[in-house]
Amino acid sequence: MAITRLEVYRRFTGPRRRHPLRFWPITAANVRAASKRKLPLLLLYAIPAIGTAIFSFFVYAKFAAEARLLPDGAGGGLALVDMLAQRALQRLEVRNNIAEFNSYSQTFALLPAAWFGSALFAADIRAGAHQLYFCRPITRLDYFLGKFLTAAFFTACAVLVPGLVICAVAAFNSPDWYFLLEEWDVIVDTVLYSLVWIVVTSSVALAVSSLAARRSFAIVGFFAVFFIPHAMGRVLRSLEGYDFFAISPIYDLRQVAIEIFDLGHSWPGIPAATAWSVLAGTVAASLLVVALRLRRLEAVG
Amino acid sequence: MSAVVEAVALGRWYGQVVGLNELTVRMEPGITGLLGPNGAGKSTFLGLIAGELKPSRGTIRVLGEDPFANGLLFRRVGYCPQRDAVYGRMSGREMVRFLLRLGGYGRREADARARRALERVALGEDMERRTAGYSKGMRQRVKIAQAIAHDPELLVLDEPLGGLDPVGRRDVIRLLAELAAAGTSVLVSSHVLHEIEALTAEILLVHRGRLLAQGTIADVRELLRQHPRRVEIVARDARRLARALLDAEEVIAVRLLDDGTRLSLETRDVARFHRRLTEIAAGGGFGVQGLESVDASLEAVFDYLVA
Repeated sequence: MAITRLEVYRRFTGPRRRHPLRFWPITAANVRAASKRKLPLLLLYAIPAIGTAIFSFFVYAKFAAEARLLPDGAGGGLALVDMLAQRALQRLEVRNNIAEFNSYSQTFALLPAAWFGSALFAADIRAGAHQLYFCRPITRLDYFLGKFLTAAFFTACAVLVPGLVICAVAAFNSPDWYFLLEEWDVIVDTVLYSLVWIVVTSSVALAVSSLAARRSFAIVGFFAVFFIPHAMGRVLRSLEGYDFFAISPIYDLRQVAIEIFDLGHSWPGIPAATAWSVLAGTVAASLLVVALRLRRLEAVG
Repeated sequence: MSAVVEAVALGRWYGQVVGLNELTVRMEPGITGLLGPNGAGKSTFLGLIAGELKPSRGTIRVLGEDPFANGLLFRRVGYCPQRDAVYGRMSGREMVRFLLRLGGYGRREADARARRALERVALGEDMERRTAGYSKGMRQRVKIAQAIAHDPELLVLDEPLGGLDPVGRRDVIRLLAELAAAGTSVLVSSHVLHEIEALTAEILLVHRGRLLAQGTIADVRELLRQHPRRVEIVARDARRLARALLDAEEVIAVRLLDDGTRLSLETRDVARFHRRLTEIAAGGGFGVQGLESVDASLEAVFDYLVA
């Protein structure tokens, strides 16, 4: 066999270092790129923002009324405030407000996870961008974490941030920092519940994204995972009983909210262990799908 | 000097499909063209070199290291995949900077390197535009920029000239030649033969997952003994020259072409034939005006090997 002609040969002499948080550039770049389109941001977060404002006002009104800052029977614009304060007083707990906020806004909180999460793997697979990732010093776990944190960030903006805003309103308006000193566990519960929500929705979003050839298919798949069992649960409940609510991750999340916030309600009446188990199973199945799909991503297209 | 890429009995299957089979090859520094028809196994071989694929059997060493999932080898290897691979919402600079950040570069250094690489591929003026608005050739240049941005020792390019206009091709070919002259080893795949011919004479030819040939185009052609070399001669008195050449033992066939001023002949030893032709032409007054080896090109070699 012939040999090649010899050119100058330059041996690499620079440092060969790894990025200490290798997933972080992926998250930062994906968040930055996804945030460039303002209209989806506006549409997806408008309802959670409005909900946050309303429930924050409930909290503010409660503390204001408790502190007797509101004059009895004040006329004009204050009548509305007074009425809301009366309503707020009926809900003595800030935790009730946060739980209610989550209950009212959870459908809307699914939207950011669906919109932003569904594109994360699907777009890479479609364009072959994963080939650019995997010829760099990142592992498939780094790749997954980078994408997962991206989905988690956008979901957190719809779930965790509103909860913390409501807590912050309570903290700043409670007399002598009462809320922070006596009811700090509400903040912990809010973070815990938000994390459960974020982990479940982000995992499902990434799983369907890794399976779909297009983002639109992934969005359909995401809602199918949540709403088909939801509808089936309702149908089976009417036929058999309340136990079948457990097949719906949405009902399970609601039950978990009841458990975490210790609301004492019975509806939807799923045993806590069952609700946790179904959610854990959903997350495990999603992660398994992602792991299997990422292993296959080594194939060149 | 150690080999840049060394594969021994390298194989890779996709389930039942053979991507690459029993490939034993040694690539030295310089520019090497990886040739083969579609589905020959070129991308599989490049994926194995880039560490994206795990060999099903055999071994591969790139710059002396096992490339599969070898993160630290990234600094020494630049890879430009065939597929589009760029994010439409990012600008060219953001894309290259992001990929450099993944490689462990700090924010400032990544930005400076991204700018420099994009300027090198003639995207300096468009680097702030979103890549969604780029032409296919511009996106191709972004991919090349990300591959060269960290000054790799080995550059692996999968069909880098696809989608480029003629000016873009010329620029990229010039860039690759510059990189090679500066000491970067380049492995470039293509099924467009004249592109490779413009870049290098050193080729690796794969077909159906197997190595068909390796070496310079001329050396590989010399090895194809079963195919006599074809030479065309333009002469004023081509008919009389044909008669004279038929007596030469180096010539095994002569054909007079359509217009009567051209001859096509076959020989098994082109060097001896050239010496003989010089003697004949000097003494006969045939008016020889031109001589061309018509099947010494890469395309001809490729056709002989793949057919």
